[in-house]
Amino acid sequence: MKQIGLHQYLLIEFKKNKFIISALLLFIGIILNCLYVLQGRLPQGQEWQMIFASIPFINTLLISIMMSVLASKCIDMENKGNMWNTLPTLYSRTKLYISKLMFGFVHIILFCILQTILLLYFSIKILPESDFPLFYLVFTILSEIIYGMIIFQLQCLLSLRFQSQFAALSIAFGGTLAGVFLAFISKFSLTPWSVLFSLSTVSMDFDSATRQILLSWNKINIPAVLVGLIYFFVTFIIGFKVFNTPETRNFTFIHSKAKSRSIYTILPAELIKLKYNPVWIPFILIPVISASIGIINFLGNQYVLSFNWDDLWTQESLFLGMFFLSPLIAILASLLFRMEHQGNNWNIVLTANSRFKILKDKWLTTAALSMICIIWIAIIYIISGKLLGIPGNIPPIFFLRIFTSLICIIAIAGFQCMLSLIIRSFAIPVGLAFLGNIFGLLLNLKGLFYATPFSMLIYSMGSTNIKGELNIPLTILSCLFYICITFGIGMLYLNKVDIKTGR
Amino acid sequence: MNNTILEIKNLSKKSGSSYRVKNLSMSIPKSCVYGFLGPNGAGKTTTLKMILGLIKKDAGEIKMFGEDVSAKNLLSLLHKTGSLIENPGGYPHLSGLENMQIIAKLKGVNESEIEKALKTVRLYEQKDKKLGAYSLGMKQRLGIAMALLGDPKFLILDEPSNGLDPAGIMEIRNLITSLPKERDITVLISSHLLNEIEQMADYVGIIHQGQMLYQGKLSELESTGENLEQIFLELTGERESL
Repeated sequence: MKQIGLHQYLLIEFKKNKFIISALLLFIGIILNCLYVLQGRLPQGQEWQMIFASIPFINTLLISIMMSVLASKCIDMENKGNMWNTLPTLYSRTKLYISKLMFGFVHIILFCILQTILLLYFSIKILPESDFPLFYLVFTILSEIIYGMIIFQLQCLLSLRFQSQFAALSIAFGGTLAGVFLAFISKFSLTPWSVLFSLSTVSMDFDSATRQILLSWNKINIPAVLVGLIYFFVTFIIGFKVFNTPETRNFTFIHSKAKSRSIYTILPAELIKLKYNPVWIPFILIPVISASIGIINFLGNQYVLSFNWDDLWTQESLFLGMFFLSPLIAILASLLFRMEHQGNNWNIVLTANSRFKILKDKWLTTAALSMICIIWIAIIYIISGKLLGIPGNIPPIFFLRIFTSLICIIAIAGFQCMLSLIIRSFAIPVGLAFLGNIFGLLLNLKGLFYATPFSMLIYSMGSTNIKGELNIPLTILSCLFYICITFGIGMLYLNKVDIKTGR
Repeated sequence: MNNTILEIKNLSKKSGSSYRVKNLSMSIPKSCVYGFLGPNGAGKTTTLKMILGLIKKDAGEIKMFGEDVSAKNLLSLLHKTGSLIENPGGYPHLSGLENMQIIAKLKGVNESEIEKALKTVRLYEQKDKKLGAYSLGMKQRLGIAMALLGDPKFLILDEPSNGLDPAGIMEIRNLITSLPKERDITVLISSHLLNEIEQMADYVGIIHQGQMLYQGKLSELESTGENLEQIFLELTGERESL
């Protein structure tokens, strides 16, 4: 038999994955990167410092999501296709592992090339006068490649171990959230997700006297580089070991026997399907992480913040509201639709009940469970405020913000259900939700709060300014508009398109 | 009184420029077993999926229980129907019982029926096992139990003997042949296992390359002196290729 080279295996990986998805992720990622880096005014004389200070922050999020989604997708396709019994009979497990990693490597390289082109263009067209920081660019690019590969290797491992991509991606998002914040606290990367941030080429210091941010170029942080390399090699070696030990592959929360033995159950069908899936973990844990980070930040930055209810809320809800709630909703919607996309389950459910009820039940289940997140963080906020002895009363607008956030969740749940119905992949709709969320953030910066459900949720949560004006009728109207549109498209799809079955 | 449970006229389904099913007509009398025969890729599953509204037809008419099937009455007709299409589905992380509970809820069927359906396919003892741990034969039987929920009058089974061992095949055969007599259920069963159909069916339809080549009573077909296998190979033109 003729031996084929590694590049051929890489081509096979690209053949298995739709190129359009890769192109879309890269395109949206680089656009969001560009919009974020160039938003707002650049301080005169320190333009490049400002740009290079923004890059590690936004790319910690963007690269993490892009690489997690890609890794989850390329591992999950083998899970779904039961290919783990076939592939190792065709070529060695090591080659299989390396070809998967090369697939991720090509993506992070393409992302870095696109970013470099944009920065060079920016240097020529907008900042021709200033010196281009070539050294810092090269260092940033190398950091991004290492970081991207750490995340890719880690996610391959998670997606392999947790066949339910729900658990794998929840850990990825929870990790990203914790990693970003821990990078603010410590210059060492305490988690794999903090690596890029810890290698930032610019340091930002807040001058409390002038209330200005001071930017300065960093020397290369050798210990941080070493920690990054350790994460890289450790994730590589663990992944290598796991790929080569097939019998330990499927890690699952599932017990061999069900607990319920009664013929009767009061649970609705969608909730029975969620049994034994630890859905509650991210929905309970991520608000706790967000609030804990917020409280630490709130207490540690009292020279900038005020000891009142307003600032406590902005700190506690910041990460949840601005970055993680929408992807969490997306993960849940993907999980509910994955149940039907696997095997031939559409054949069963579509003959058992009306298409309207199937879509409605999934949408309402997604919305109802996602609401727990908001209610939970509101409870944590009230309790923590009381325990910290914050003076005065909780601002009344807080309760209105919680109310409008719940409405926004219903709209986002509708949007994500539509995506997960149409797109069979688990990870792609989740990645799109994350990117939609960052786009929503940018819309907020431009004052277009009510343009999309994502921007509305960020604004409704009031994570940057709880006292900002809140137009409740407009929020409801805009949400209704999106609910009708997305539900309509979902129904149209179910009624007009021949749903594909089989793996 | 109308004695047919399913009446199909000139049913067609295109895939690009070619036909997956072309001008197919079919008539299934009540309380019989109808064997739907055809080689792999003949269009059997496509036809069954069109009957159940799982995919759209491009042309033709489908009448079930004497009613023209439309988007409006599809669901009410499906509630009188049970089906198992392609490989058996289900949620592998749940037990057999929990899978049945989901289908019972979706069909709006009393959960007390679950026990009866599971006992019919002899899975009641294994109801607490995860579907993921079921053998292919057990999954197939669970698929049939799901189809039997709601006391259907018309059962559509797509290659239900796939992956079963000889004992399992015999068990399914006995179950299917008993349904018309004992429960007044009409069964439409697709297969490419000619011997199986020969032992079960009252009527047969033979489809090849999307077109119906023959349909009628099995006994009439066999009165010509040839067995089903010979007739099938002759009709589908595969005898020459052997």
